[in-house]
Amino acid sequence: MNRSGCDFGREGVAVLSETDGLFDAELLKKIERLSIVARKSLAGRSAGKRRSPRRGSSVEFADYRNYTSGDDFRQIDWNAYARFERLYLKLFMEEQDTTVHAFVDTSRSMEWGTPSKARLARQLAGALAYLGLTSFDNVGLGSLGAGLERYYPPVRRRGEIWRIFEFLEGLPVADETDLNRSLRDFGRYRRGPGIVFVISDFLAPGGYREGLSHLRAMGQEVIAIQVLSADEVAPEMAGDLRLVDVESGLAQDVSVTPGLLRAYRERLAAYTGEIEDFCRRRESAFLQVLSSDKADEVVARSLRRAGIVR
Amino acid sequence: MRFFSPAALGFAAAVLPIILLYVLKLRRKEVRLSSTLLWRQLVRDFQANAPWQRLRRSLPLFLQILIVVLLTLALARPYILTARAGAGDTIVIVDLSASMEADDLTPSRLARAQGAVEQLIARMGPRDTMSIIGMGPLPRVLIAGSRDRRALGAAIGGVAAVSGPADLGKALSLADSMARGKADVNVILVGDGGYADLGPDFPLTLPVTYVPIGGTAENVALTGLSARSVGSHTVAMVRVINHGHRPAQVDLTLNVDGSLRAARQLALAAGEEKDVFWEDIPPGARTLQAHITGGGALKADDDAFAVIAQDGAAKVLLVTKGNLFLEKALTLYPGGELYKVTPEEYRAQDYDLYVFDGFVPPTLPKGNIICFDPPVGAWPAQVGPAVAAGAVRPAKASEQLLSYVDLNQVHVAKAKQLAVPTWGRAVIEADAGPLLVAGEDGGRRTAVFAFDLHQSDLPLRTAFPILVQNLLAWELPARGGAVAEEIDGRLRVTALPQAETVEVTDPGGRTTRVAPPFPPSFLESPRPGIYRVTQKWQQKQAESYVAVNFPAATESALDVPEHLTVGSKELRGQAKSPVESREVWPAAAVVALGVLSLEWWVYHRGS
Repeated sequence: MNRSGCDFGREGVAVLSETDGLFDAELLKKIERLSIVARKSLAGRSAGKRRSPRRGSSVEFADYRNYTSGDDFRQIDWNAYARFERLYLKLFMEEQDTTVHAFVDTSRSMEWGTPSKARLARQLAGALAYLGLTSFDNVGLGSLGAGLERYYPPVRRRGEIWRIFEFLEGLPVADETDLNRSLRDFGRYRRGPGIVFVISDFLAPGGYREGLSHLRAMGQEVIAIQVLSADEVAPEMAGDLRLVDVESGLAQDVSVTPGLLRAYRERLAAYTGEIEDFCRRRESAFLQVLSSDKADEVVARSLRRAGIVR
Repeated sequence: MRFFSPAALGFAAAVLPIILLYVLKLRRKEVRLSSTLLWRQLVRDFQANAPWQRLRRSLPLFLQILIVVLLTLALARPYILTARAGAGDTIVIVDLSASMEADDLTPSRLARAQGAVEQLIARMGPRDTMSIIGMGPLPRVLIAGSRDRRALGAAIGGVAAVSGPADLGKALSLADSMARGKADVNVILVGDGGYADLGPDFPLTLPVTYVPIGGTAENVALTGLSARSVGSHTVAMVRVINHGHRPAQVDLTLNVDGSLRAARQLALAAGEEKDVFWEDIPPGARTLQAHITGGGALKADDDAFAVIAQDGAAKVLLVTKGNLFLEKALTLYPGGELYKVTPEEYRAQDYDLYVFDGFVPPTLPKGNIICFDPPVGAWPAQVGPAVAAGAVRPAKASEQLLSYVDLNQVHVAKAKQLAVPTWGRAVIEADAGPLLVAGEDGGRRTAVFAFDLHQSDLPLRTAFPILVQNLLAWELPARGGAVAEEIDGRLRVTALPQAETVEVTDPGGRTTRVAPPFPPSFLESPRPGIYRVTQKWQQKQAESYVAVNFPAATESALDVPEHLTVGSKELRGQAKSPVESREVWPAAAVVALGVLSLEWWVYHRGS
């Protein structure tokens, strides 16, 4: 990422001159009109573009309620008083900001695939951060390894975007993954509601359930994005093999037959189904993408189709 | 199962390397993966770090071992013994003749023959059929075209030897008729080979395998026991034959009416025959039984039986210029001796019956008379010139002399006019008058035919011999009227015309009623011995005795020929049971190929 090649134009759009890095102007241009959708209204501290459960003073009418002493006179609907001779308060939607976090799994297994899973994961994290900043949300980032190894605290300024890209590009590869511990660590930095994107292959030996549950307990709305490579989805190999885990170094001897490959695909489908089912039960979203997918298409089509952005 | 190449069974050792390959862990190609999490969940095997692993139950391993076993079997060239007849229809002819009771084989030749047939049954293929013919004087189909081994086994298990000889010609003819219309029919003849020569013209179309049962056996037989009156006393004679290959010594005894009468010891060289006479048979004796002790392998021919004719055979004189029909009909009568003279040669002698054909002597003889076509004016009845006879019919519906005689098809062209004498009755009549009269003229039984047999088609009808037999039975009452004889292994009784019941008592004392209904039924497969035939009518009864003897002439020589000549073909004996070895390695190879395909499928199915 070359900082000199990026600046925000008059409309506040980051423009990247280089196209060979993780992020390019084309990607951002394609997604700049999108914004992240909270599945349920989130309460933030400062006014933003996101609706808040609190009724406020914006222009969008929300409801009426009876006047009680102490209410603001300015909010009394005098037209209604003229008609019903009773005092009603006119309530408006209050638009507030929220905090969007994007966590990227930086374990060694994410380096797998052509292009690598890590590349798409970081591109997605950057794109989501960009969407958050353009929506005047607070955007934070983190890398998931043995714990929450790097944390980029929430920022609101759009000008932070290139620093965010730099942060993502500079994330080191973790030797091991512990999704549960990493997500638990997040509780040390953040309290209260928000939106969390967890971008991982979810192939951590310790599992993912505890970590995701912890996020939900924090009031975070969780969107799990599983990134897999093509040879993980449909491996092509045969014969008597010793499979070595690049992350843990554990070896697994198998005699690969068409039947075993079929059983593997069934096992993978079942495993993915378990994650999806787990998320659905906790009102979280789940999306599976391939490392060969383009980040702009994932955001503009897959995330949009899933109702995560609009 | 046997093997042509048993050394190839060593190929089974190939099973060991296969098992070893399963026990030893493979050297595997290392492949790096992003995560083995799912693979570990999927495959819970191959965890042990030892260079070998526990042999697990594995379908591919089982199939591979099975392939090796099957290929080993195929290489060893296994074969099974099957009936030489092979697939298809087999007709087994089992010799049930009397000689099969010989005990030179343990327990007997017949039992060995049964065993040989049971072996053939056991080696039948699933589509093979078998028929079994029991070969005695008359062949009998014991079971036909059956695949049911149990039924075949029961059929061969239930046979017993008969007392007569085996007629190979009839058995082969029966087999030939059973095989007609079928292809690939094989005949297996199981027997001791003691059969009458069938002659060079016997047509043998079927392939016959001869399985000889028995070998050389020592045997002494009695044959031809007979008795005849010489003057006032009776002489008995029996022939003793040593059929063996070594000298034999036997004790010969003679029983008269069941009591021991004489005994003597005989020494016979190999193949020697001796005739033995007894001249002191008491008058009035009825039955004789000769017996030898130490008679060798066949017990049945150690006894011989005879019935002493009380009055000798009935002597019948036929006086004719030549009448073949009449002569033949008279010779059929078993109890008579027929003599024939021309009218010119006629002299009245001591005959029991005179049959005059176209001739009547001036003086009638003492015996009974049957007269055909008496000259005009001659006695024994008033005879007029010949006239057209017209329709022929019985004179009386219940005429005993016409029992079983059907006159419907009988025509007579011309017949002499005959007056019914006072002593007689009309038996057959026509429009022109009586054609046959019969009666007893002062103690002389007389029957007179009014026509020449050549002027009639009566001799061409079945009625003729029956009528003659009825007349003879009536004319010769002193003979008892009933004769029983053994024909084709069956005892046949000829009943008296007036008999109402006929009973036969066998040597064991068991009485069987053979009539009514008439004609009397046969007595199947009679054992050698004296049979008593009792005939009863009204308050009277007649008893006669019949001797049934072992057919020693054909059955006592026990040597089994190595080969048989049937027609123009020579049947060489199969030393062993007629089996052949059928290789089954192609079946093993085909099954191995099938299992190999299954193993391939199992591997790709990934089980």
